Amino acid sequence: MVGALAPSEATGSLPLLWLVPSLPLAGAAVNLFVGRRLGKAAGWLATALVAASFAVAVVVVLDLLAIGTEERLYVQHLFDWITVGAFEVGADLRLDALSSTMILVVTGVGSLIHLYSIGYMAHDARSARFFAYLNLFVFFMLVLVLGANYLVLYLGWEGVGLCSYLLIGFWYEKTENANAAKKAFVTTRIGDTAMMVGLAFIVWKFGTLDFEAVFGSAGAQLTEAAATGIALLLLGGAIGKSAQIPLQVWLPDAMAGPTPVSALIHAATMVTAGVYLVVRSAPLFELSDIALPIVLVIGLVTMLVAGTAALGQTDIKRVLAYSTVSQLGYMFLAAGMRAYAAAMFMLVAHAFYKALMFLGSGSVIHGMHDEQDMRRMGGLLRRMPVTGWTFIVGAIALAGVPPLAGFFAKDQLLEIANHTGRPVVWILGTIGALLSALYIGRLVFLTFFGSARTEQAEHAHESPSVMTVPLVILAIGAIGAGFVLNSTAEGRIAHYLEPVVGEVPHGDGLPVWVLGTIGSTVAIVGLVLAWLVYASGKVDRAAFEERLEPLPRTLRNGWYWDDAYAKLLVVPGKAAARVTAFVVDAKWVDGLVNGVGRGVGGLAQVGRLLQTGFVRSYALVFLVGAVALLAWIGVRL
Amino acid sequence: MNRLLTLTTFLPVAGVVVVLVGGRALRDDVARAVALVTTIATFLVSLVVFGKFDPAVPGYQLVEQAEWVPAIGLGYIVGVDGVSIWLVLLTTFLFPIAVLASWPVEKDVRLYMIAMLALETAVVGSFLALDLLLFFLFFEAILVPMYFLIGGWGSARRVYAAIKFFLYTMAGSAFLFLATLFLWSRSSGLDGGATFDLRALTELAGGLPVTTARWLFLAFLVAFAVKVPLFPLHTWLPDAHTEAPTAGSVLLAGVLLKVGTYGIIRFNLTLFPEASRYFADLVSILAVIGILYGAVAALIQTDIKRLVAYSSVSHLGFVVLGIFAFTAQGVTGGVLQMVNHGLATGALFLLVGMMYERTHTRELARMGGLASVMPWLLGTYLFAVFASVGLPGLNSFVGEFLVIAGTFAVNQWYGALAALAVILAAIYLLWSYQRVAYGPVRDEHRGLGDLNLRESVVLAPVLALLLVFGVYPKLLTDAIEPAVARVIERVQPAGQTTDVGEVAVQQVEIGLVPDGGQQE
Repeated sequence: MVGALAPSEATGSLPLLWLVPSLPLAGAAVNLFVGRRLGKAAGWLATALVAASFAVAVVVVLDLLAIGTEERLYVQHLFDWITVGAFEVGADLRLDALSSTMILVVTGVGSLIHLYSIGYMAHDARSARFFAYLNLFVFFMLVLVLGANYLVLYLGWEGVGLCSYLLIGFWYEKTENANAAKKAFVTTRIGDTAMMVGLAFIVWKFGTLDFEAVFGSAGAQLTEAAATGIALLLLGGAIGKSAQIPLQVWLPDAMAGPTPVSALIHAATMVTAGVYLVVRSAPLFELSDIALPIVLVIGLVTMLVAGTAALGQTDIKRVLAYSTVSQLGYMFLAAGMRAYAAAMFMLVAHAFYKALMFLGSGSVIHGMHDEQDMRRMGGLLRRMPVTGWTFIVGAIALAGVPPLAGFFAKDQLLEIANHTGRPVVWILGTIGALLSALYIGRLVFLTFFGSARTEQAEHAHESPSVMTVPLVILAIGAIGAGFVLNSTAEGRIAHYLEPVVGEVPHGDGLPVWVLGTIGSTVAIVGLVLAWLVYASGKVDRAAFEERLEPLPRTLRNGWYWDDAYAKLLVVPGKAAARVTAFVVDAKWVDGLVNGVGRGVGGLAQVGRLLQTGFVRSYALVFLVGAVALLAWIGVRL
Repeated sequence: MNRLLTLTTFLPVAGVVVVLVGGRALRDDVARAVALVTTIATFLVSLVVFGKFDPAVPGYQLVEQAEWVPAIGLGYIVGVDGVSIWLVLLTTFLFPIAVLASWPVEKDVRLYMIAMLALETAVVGSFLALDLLLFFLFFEAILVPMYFLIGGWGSARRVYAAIKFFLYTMAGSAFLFLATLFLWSRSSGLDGGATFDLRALTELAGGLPVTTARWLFLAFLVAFAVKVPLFPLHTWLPDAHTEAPTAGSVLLAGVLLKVGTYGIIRFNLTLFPEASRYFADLVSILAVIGILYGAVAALIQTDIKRLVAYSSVSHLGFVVLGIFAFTAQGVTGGVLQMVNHGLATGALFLLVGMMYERTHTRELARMGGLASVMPWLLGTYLFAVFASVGLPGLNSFVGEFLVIAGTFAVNQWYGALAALAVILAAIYLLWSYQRVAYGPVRDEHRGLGDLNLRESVVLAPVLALLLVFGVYPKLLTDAIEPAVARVIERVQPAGQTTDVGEVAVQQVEIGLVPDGGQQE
């Protein structure tokens, strides 16, 4: 447990904190209403405002760093949001080590993705609307991570869900896109509702939703059972947002949205909100005996299920989607081991290399004229060198090859598993690492190596520099994030986060260098295996996959979760609704009430009277009476 | 003497008189203008009322009292408190909007506008009356113009719907009338003689035998439960909403249903606190059933107006559930939800009406792709949909969350089950939105026009409030809370934690449970 921090005074630029979310909000408002008239400027305006927000965030965070670690907390009260009785919720922003990490990622990676979108959406008639939504998303995401209480967090939480809905369904003329958008919103809302009940639970127990107040008195206030209840309800929200089992089904379909959306919302930021929520709520989770073990198991299972499913995909974006689910599983796994800083480190590193790869895949799709099937690609490295090489950097980082970002993140995590007496987690985690090297190797070799398999692939072209520059910057991040954040023995980011999330767990196990060697070996083995099957020319890829059926088909269908839900939930649910509306309500309830009325009051007779003008005469009598009464009042007053 | 409340109530009648005097000579446009000007003037007067109203004072304010029929103790007593002030403002706010939305009505315009104006007087009077018989008269008077609006200007099955509406409400109010008479008969022993004065009867009702009070509670409840509507007395509503003309649906959902929930707070809780506690579980269970039942039934509707109607059954269940939690958060949330539902569902019906005027269909299966044809109209519709879904930052969320939190502190099952409706609301509203807005455009809908100026003027104020009340609900709660605290104080027996201030002191140990012994 971490002791409460003493909020610090508003020094230096800290009072500017409100500007960080407000700038993108202003952009959203402008683009929503007059964006069309701005033409090309709409995208530049949106990008500039997110970049400005990043700049303010940097300045503010630098001033936060100037404060001693024990007082590194700044709360800004904007106005009273809800006040009923003793229950008060302020529109409060909270800057501490955890939220400052998040806002830098959101605005930093966000600006690059905005910049890239200028190129990607150049030919879309509704691009101003697109940028309005994208800016609105950044606003809500910043509210989510900056909220100083659970309700402001929830405001951001639902807001990003709204933007996700709007952007997945951005090309709504196609029914499948609209379906994907609705599926994403509804599936996450199942979790969100659990979370809302969790908030009600907190209100019941604490009378407040403020982080400081809740965490400060949680130990004294909560029984173990109550802590478990709250933690599991909050976890429901986290599972939905971060696409963890059993609510993971929406994320692969969410790829229907424009690719920058997949990069920003469905890889780098929104889907990590669940991890953020668990880390933020750690003081509550830790009071329960079973909450964190459940987080761990969910992360582990999700990591393996999604990691295998990624191997079976043929759509380049769906590989990345399942990869994201799997990587989020790693982050949950870390949080489940109380290694919150490790989870956050992975979150930051993942934001770089996964945003990079999504944007890279967008560049590929752009260059291939909207083709997403990897089987129709091949040999693109020669035709799209910047996209190709930066993508390879991202892939190596993801696979966990040292010294790129993914290696440090995964290595630290597996080390903690090994050193805290969790051999099963360590072994399964290592298998997961092998899986990620395999699927990302498969993607890279199918897409960028070998020879072009279609006409389109032969004539693919490199994207404009407005799209490739962000790729290069993100690639530098994917290379450097590991060094920078983890270069000291303790890990720089772990040290920074410690006042908020506590120490990274320690213990004894295999020596660090042995673990590192095993980790890097697994990554390289995975990539080599992928090369053997998909690029060496020594294996007939199609025949190889054929021989493994029905496994590839099962994986391609994501282990048939969607079909199971359709059969077990959607079909019976629709039937139940039909019976409720058209039998129970229309026949029974309506019939019963009418019957009772008829029986008791002889209403049948009244009914007949009505049809012969009874109501009209009643009304007439009433009106005459009313006028008379009015006259009376006039006289009396 | 201060006559502001009387002016607010009866100003629309002046419009009626003008239209009547004008007779056949009055052109339709003039009749429309008269109605619009009258309703706007009424709104302005109600703003003056709001200006004079002191939110910090918990009791009735701006009270006007006059004898009317002293022989039977009927008085003309009106007054306003923190609950009714918002319902009056909601009413006077929605009426000009409903009138302006009715511009396309061509049939018997003068009669239509007379019905609208009469309706406004009846509704406002219901919210302001502090004399039981006076309330009953206004309450009944709502029926007549509404009956004509549905039966005269509705769609295909309008006669059936109008009669059903009329009979249901009449049957309910019969109980209300009997209970009122009973209370009046008991009041003859009072100093001032027999009376219908709510304040005097409140004293009197406190001394009634427990069983008598419980029967009376039920009689009042039936009348209001029909209006709300509370499951299983809701089946008139889908028919009435669906068949009513646009303005009729807007006003039904926006204000008429609230007369029921308002009546529960004003009369059931105030007059019969013990019986309210006694029946709290029964009513809460019916409310929870209604919340889920309405939402499930909405899932499968094929007619968009019917879908919104069933969603009202669900949303009004939240109001009742919050009221019977008897916590500051629950009841305040319930009152907030009344206002917010009126705005959000009002907006939905306005927009559905505008779509209907263009496509001439309410069948979801025959729409589709409209977002490509009328981006502003459908964008606006999406905004209202998300307000209705309970998106934080928009108005409905605040009330819904307060109801759930306020209920959860008393009964975790009710709170958690009610929350399930939040998922269902997302399903039925987004599903219907998708079927209306997304997908390919149908050939017959190409070339339909987007929002025109009049429609934008109709929608803009409502949409603005959806956002304002979501971001800054204190505008509402500052006035609501003291009034609510006064009601809760009556309902919760002495010695229990009723004052929210005490909760504040004790919350470190017991959270928000009003009864300190109930925790876990």
